[in-house]
Amino acid sequence: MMRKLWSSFLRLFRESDRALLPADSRQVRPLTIVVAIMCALGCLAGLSASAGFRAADTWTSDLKSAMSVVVQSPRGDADLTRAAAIVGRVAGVTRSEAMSRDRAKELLRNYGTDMSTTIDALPVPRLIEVGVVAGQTNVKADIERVLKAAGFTVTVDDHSRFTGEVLRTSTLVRIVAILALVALVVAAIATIAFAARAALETRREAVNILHLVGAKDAFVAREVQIRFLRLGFVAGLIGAGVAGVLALIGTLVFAFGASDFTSGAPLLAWTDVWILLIAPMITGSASAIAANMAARATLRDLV
Amino acid sequence: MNEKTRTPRYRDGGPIVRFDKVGVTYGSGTQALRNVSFELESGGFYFLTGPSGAGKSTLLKLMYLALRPSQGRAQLFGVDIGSASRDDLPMLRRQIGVVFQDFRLLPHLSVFDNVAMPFRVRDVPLSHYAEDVDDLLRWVGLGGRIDALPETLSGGEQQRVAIARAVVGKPSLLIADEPTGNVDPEMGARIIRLFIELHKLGATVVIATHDLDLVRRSGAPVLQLEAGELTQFPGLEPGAKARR
Repeated sequence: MMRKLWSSFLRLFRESDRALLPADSRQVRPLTIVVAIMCALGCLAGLSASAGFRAADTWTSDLKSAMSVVVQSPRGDADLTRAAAIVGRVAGVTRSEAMSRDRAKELLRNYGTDMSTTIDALPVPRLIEVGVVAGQTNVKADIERVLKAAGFTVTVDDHSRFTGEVLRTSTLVRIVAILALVALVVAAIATIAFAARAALETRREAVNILHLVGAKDAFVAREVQIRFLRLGFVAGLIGAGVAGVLALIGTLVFAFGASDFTSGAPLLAWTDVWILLIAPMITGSASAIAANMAARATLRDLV
Repeated sequence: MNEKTRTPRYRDGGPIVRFDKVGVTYGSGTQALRNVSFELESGGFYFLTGPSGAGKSTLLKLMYLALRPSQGRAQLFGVDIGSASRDDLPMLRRQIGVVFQDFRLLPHLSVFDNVAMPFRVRDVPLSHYAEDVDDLLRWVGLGGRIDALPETLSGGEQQRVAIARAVVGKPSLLIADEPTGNVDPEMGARIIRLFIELHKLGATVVIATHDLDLVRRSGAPVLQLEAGELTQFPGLEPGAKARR
């Protein structure tokens, strides 16, 4: 069974013995490699765009559904617990939890500076972690109002300054990824068109014979098109395979090295497989169309 | 032969080839043909002779539509080939069979596929022509070599493949450039007999040759070219018709 599948796969790489235009392996192999590399880069650009979209969505969603309340006074443990309970009763709040001193210290440690000897001397912030219904308005104002009424001096941070930056950054990532994808597709089409012209030029004698026995330009162009459809599809399979392996390695490296901030947004998802699946079909179709158009244009120059 | 493989025949009744003051000047400025006028009647059998460089190949190229005239008016099957659109050419070419002096076989294709080429470019299914191609290859003595590649054949065998390719579609106009040049006398005679058979079936045959014995024996009308001009042809004057 496997041998049959492998044999069928290998047949994709071989020209039919009955192809009217002669094959040229000296051209086919390097061209396949070039298109495969472009396809791999295109797939990686597509996967990057997809991952960028997903990460931005996850991060902005996380940020929009969470707030931090910094209690400036009173700062005792019992006061903090009471404040958390008051916040928990505000409409739109889904979770309200007083942060322990130890956890607050850990947050400070995450800033990266070696604070092991001085952190105990610092007045760590007393925080309440608040979960809110995403999109709910006036929650921040309500929390400030009820805590003030209960005698607390607080600052409520709704993370809006980070959300804007994440959105701007993710939009830039998306645009760059899409532009890279478009540039690669254009480059691949131009390469195929150039190769199709070269293929016809080097087979001019065969093309002339086909014309003289009554072949229409469309027939000759179709012969070229079929060849480049196969080349594009095979190059697409190779490129998508390479991109898939690279993406998998990247995902694993990213997963093992993930921080608290990034662990909630996986680099790749199973749904990204569609990018790898359609890549050979897109590459094959684009190659075939580009080759057909280039062939017709070249044939018009012949008698 | 199967109906689907048959080439439509020219039935207009007028000259199948009509040249009126035709000239060809190549890009380099060389004038290969000058003021050539003649008519070939549908169903005629003609020889084209002349020394090397006289313009025979150029005249044949005009007749098998590999070239357009630079001056004058050339008509094939009633169509002006100087002004015919590119889309019209394939249908005209399908009515013409050509035996090239250098055979012009496709080296990567088998003998069978080279002969079947006129059908394949028309997208005729294999089942409609396979038997005809096999029969024809047996007739030219290549029945046992249908899967061979041209490079493994002798010059004479390659010429027979080229002839089989030219006649397999039963063309209305058969043009042969030195068709007996690379074969032994016996095969040469068989090839000429094949051309005569096609002629009897209604095809117009034009054979370019240096074999003056063959020309004399046949008694067919002769077009003779010298330095790009027709020097021998009955009815040489413009508009005059060829002797049959």
